[in-house]
Order: sequence, then structure tokens, then C-alpha cells
Amino acid sequence: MRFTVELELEKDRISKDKNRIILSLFKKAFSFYDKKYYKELYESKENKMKDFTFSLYMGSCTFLREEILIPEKKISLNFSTYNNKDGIMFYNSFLALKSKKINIQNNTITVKRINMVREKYITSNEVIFKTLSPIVVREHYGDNSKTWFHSLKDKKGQEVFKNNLKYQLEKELGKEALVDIKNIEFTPANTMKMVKVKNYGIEIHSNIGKIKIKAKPYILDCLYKSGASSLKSSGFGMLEIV
Amino acid sequence: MSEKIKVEMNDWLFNAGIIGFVNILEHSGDKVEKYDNYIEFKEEVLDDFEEKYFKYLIDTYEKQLSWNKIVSYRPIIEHFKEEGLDQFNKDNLERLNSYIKDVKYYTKSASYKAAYNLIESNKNVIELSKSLKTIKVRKKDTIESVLEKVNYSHQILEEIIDYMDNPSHKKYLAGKNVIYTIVKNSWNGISFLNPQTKEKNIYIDFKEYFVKPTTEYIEIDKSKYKYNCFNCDNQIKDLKNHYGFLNNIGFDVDKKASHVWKFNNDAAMCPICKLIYSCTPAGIMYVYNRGIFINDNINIASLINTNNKIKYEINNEEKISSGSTYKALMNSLAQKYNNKIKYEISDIQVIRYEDENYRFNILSKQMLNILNNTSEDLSKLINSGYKEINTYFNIYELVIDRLFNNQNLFTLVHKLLIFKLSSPNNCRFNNLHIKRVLNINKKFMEGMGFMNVKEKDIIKSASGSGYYLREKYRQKGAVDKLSGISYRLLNAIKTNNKDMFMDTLLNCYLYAQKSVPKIFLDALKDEENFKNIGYAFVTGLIEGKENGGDNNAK
Repeated sequence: MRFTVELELEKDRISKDKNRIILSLFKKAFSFYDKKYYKELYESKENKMKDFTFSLYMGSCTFLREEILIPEKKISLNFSTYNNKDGIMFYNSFLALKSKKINIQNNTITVKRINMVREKYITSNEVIFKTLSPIVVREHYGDNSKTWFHSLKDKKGQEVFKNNLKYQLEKELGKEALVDIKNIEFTPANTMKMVKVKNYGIEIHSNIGKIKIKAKPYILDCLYKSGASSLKSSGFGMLEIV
Repeated sequence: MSEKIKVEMNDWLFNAGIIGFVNILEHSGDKVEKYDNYIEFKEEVLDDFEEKYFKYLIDTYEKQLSWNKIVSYRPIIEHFKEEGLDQFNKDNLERLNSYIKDVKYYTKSASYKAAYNLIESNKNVIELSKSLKTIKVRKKDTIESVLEKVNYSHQILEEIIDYMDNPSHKKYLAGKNVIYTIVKNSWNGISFLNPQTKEKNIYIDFKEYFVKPTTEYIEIDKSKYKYNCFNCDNQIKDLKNHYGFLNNIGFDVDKKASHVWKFNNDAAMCPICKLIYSCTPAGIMYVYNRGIFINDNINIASLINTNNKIKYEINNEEKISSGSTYKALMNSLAQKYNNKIKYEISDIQVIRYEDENYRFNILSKQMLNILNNTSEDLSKLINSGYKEINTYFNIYELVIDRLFNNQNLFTLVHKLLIFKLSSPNNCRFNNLHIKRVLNINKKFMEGMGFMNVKEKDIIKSASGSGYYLREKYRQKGAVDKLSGISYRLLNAIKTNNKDMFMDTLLNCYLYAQKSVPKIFLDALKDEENFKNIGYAFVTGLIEGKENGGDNNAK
């Protein structure tokens, strides 16, 4: 399920740590609509993997040193989920917040329109994706000091990306999909580039551009809907079919 | 010689025969001793057994006979005789005309003609009915102008009825009726049902064919016979009495011997068993060409009890229709269920005769429980139905049929909804009926363990959600969009496509700017919930559709 939500800002500047703001909005919305669901997502288990991802489109924005300047004062929030329940909950929660003013980080956000986006069917074994939000390739062993973010272009990075996908897909699709998950192949486009994104105070190296992925349609469908690789539920790895 | 004859319970058809036999004898005041799994009777009760046989069948099935159709008009004639024809109106005339048509049809039919030959009377009914004519009122004339003709017809009709109603005539006329409407369902091709029978008198024919061999057989010394009855193991002389005459059960040994080992038939019965088998029409309860028998064979008494309850239910109904068997079955089961200790009637065999075939079901304890729990919903469905290509289907029958076969009702619900959407003119049901079917289905699935028992009423809340969404669409003036949406939703439910369903659903709620009810989160859990909730939602969504249609028509 895909939605696009129009958010309106009161001031034309937001912090560069933008995903943090949106996550805060998410948490407000979910806890406002259904406390139980909120707790299930964010409190019952630490670092629970979610089936959804999101990305932001900010129009003709300019990145300043610490802030982002958005002259239109509008952000489009793209939300996508593999899980229908999350989709319904997202819709209901944001509908409940609609046209209410929410104060976040000395700015005020108002939820405007909610639109549903028609999803594309994946029938082939090979799809070229475009990143709507950067893909994070993270080598992470539970200890933040050893965490390393890779580029998709080098060999090590590709290996780590594959492990990330494996971990993610096994949880989402279950053990019976393991064989198919092993056979995933991908080739990042030459135009793919590394960007630095500020996320919760630290700079994260991540990848934007096009990537070709070869796998069974249901796996591609899952990646398409729930995002790819690490940190996807905090605004990374959302994909669109080219 | 007054040695008692013992007949033991056996398979269901023989049990039906025993019940029929007991019913026939008790109806004429004879005594049969009933034990746990056998009955005993004296040879004397077989005197005039043919009379008792027909008397019971005629009395039991009287309402269904064409003879009754003719005779039952008498009160109307008598009414007009007393009151005069002043009150006679168009409706009466229409009724009279259709009645005259019936009388003319029946009185010259072959079975009646055969019966006239047996009756000693110098009245010629065929001539009488020939003189009857339907009465037409020309456009210019009033009804008064034909009253004389009416009077004349009444006189002739009364004469015909008198002839038919005469007990010594009824015996043959109704007897012939019984043979062709009832007995023929059970067995065929022998005795009075043999088209080439030499004896025209049905009573004598029955006596010669069934009763006489039995009495002879009882008296004769059987010690030297080398064959055994396939049914009761008594010694028999030869294998002539094979099972061929029993519909759908026996086979014609002469024409097709491959049913038995090495083509040597060894399945034959003794005359006593044959007589018992001939009584099956009195044991199985028939309504026209449908029959029902409950093989509640824990002992003879309960076997008789259960089946007579069905008989009682059917005969007490005001209007007997082909659906009566089901209703009677349900009622008698419900009664038994309430009266007796529950395990007693669990796992019994129910035999239904439909479309010239026997259908068998075992009613498990679970199923009885479900039937009992859903009896309220079920009873509300009796008069609902739909028409498909000129055939009328009764929803009540369809539901019970499926339940007996352990099938869920989703396909039926789907069909009903599609019908409601595409051809509302052929629907004799409303959304409440569909909700009842869904309720029954839910209880069925819970009872059979396909679904967990839920406290909240998912059907009610889902259909309620549908209703409110419709209201919202109505406010926006977009009700016409709903039929298309309903089709899409139904497709999604039928193909189990939750994504498509949810997509459509969310689109609707987006359009209406309403939040999606939480009940749909339950729907995502498993298939059964999804279907139940989905169908209930669509039911609510198309609620009151016919009203909308009417408004447009105006």
C-alpha cells in the first residue's frame, strides 16, 4: 500500500535531520490514534523491524549548512508498506491528525491531503529500481562503535547489502523463502552515488541512484513495498520501479 | 398355527420397511411387539394385509393425492349451495375454471380409467366430466349471466365428487394415486407396478404377490432348502426373489449379472423380507418426489418415534411443498435435541431421496449442535429464494444441503450477492437474509473448528461498516459508484486477494474521508475471517439497493 501525504510547514526552514522530524510525526500520529499499536511498533521490542518505509520530496529545496530551505513550505511524504495492517493504521492515524497543527522542533506541521498511490505489479524476475530515499548499507553487530556504512559500488559494500537484504527478507517472508533469497542478484548502476545524510546527529553514508535487482517476483514485490536494506523504517531505502 | 414371526433390524432400507410395516399394522389396530432390535408379530395380522397397506398409505399421504384435489372442492360447492350464488364473484369463477380443468384432466387419465374398471358402478364419470366446460364471461356480460352455467357445473361436480368420495370407490381411486405418486418412489416393476401384470385389481395383485407367498412360506417346512436369505439368513428354496425391484438399490439379475461375483447371483430374499421391503413407502416419508428417512436405529422405539415426528410435522403443515421434508426434518431434530439427552441422536444416518437418488449423510454431534444453534436464523430463511433461468431455488434448502455435506456457504453468499447486484428482480430475499446466511456460516465454521469463536459479532459490525460507508456515498451523491465497487470487492473476496480487497476498500474510505474501521484488521488475520467480514461488508454496502432502483424508476 502506498500513500502520499502533503505536509504543510509554517516556517520555510527545517533541520537537516529531517527524518527525525517525520518519525516524531509518525509517533505522534500513531499514539494519537491507537496507543496499543504505537506500543507494539516502538515500545514492546527495542529496534523492532517494521514493514514500512518512507521518503520525502521537498520540491525546489536548498541545503544550507545546518538546515534545509523549502520556499514552497510543502513536503510530500511518501509512505509504503508491505503489510496491509500498517497501511490501514497509517491512513487512519494520519486522517485523525488531518488539519491539526503539530509542533515539532520550533516549526509547525499540518497534515493536508492523503492520497493513495496505485502500486505497480511485478511479474518479471528483473526490475530496475530507483531510490526515493537513499539505501543504507550498514555493517552492524549490535555495537555502535563498530558500525560501518558502505558504498554499494565496492565489493565489500555489495556483500554487506546482500546480508542486509537476507536478514530483512527472512523476517518479512519467513524461512520458506530462504532459497529464493539466496539467489538474489543485483547490479548498481554506474551513476549511483554516495551521499551523506544526517540522521539522529550522525552523518550516514548512503547510496542514491538506480539499481537492477534480479529475484523472484514476490521478493521484488516485498522490496518494492517495504523498502530495502537497513534503517528503512526511519526514512531510507524506499524504492520506485523505473 | 400362531407361531410368532420375528423380524430383526438391518440396514437402513430394511429398517424403513420395518417401520412401514409397524405403521401399517398399528394404523389398523393390530398388535406388533417391539423389542430393542427386533419386532414380533403373529401370522394372523397378515390377514387382509393388502387392505391395511393401502389404507395406511391413503390416509397418510391423502393431502398429496390428486384424488384429494378433486374431493377437497366439496366445501366450496356446499357453501354456495347454502348461501346461493349471490356472492359468486370473478375470483370464485377463476378458481372454479381451474378446478374444472383439473377435474377434466384427472378423470380421463389412464390411472383413473383403470380404477373405473374395478369399481362396480353404472355411473360414467368420463361422460360426466366431458359435459363439464370452463365458463367464460364475455367482455360485455356481467358475471350474473353465467350463474346458471355455474350452477350446472356445480351439480355435475358434486356428482363426480360423490362418486369419488364413496369409500368403496376411494379405495381404488386413491389407491391408484398412491401407487403412482408414492410407492413408485421406493420400488417398481413388480406386482401392481408391473405394466404387464395380469391381475388388474391392485388389492388382489398385492395380496397374490406379497402376502400369499409369505403366509405359505411361514407354514412350509424349510429344512431342505439349500439357499439362504441374503437379508435375514432364513432358508429359501431358490434365488428368484432378487433385489431388482428396489429403486437404486437392487439390480436386474437377468440383464446385468456383472454386479455379483463370477456372475452368479446369490443375493435373494425370503418372502417375509420382501413383504417388509414392500412397506418402505410407509416408512420413508415422501413429499411428492422427495423423501426422508432418519435411521435412528438405537432401538425400534426411537426409530419409529423419530420418523413419525417427521410424518406428523409434514402432515400438519398447511401447505405441503417439496421443501417440507427439510423443514420437518429440522423441526423433528430440534425437538429431539431439546427433549432428549444429546448424545442419543448424534451420529445418525439421514437418508434423503431427491432427484430419484438416495443421498446419505451422517449427522454428527457437532453438526446437530450447529443446527440447533442456528435454528433461529435458519427458520427465517424458509420463504426466501431466487430464480435462475426459470427455476426457483429455495435458500433454506440450499443452506441445509450444504451444511449436511459439510460445505461452507461462501459460494452461496457470493452467488446471492452477485444476484442482488445484477438481477434484483429475480431475488426473493433481502440483505437481512444474506446476513442470516453469513451468521449461520460463521457458526458453522466455529462449530466445526475452522474458526475460533469470537465474542464480538464480526458479521454485524462489518455489515454496519458497509452501511455507513454507503450513507457517506449517498451524502456525496455517488451511490451509483457502489455497484462497480461491490463487484470489485466480491472478485477480490472470491479469489482470496486481500491486497486487492484492501486497496479497493482504502480507496473508498479515502474518497469518503473516513477512517477504516478496525474490524478490517481482523479480516487480515486469516482466510475465513477475511471472507466472512468481506462478504458481510459487501452485504451492508449494497443494503437498500432496491429502494434506490425504485426511486430511479419513478
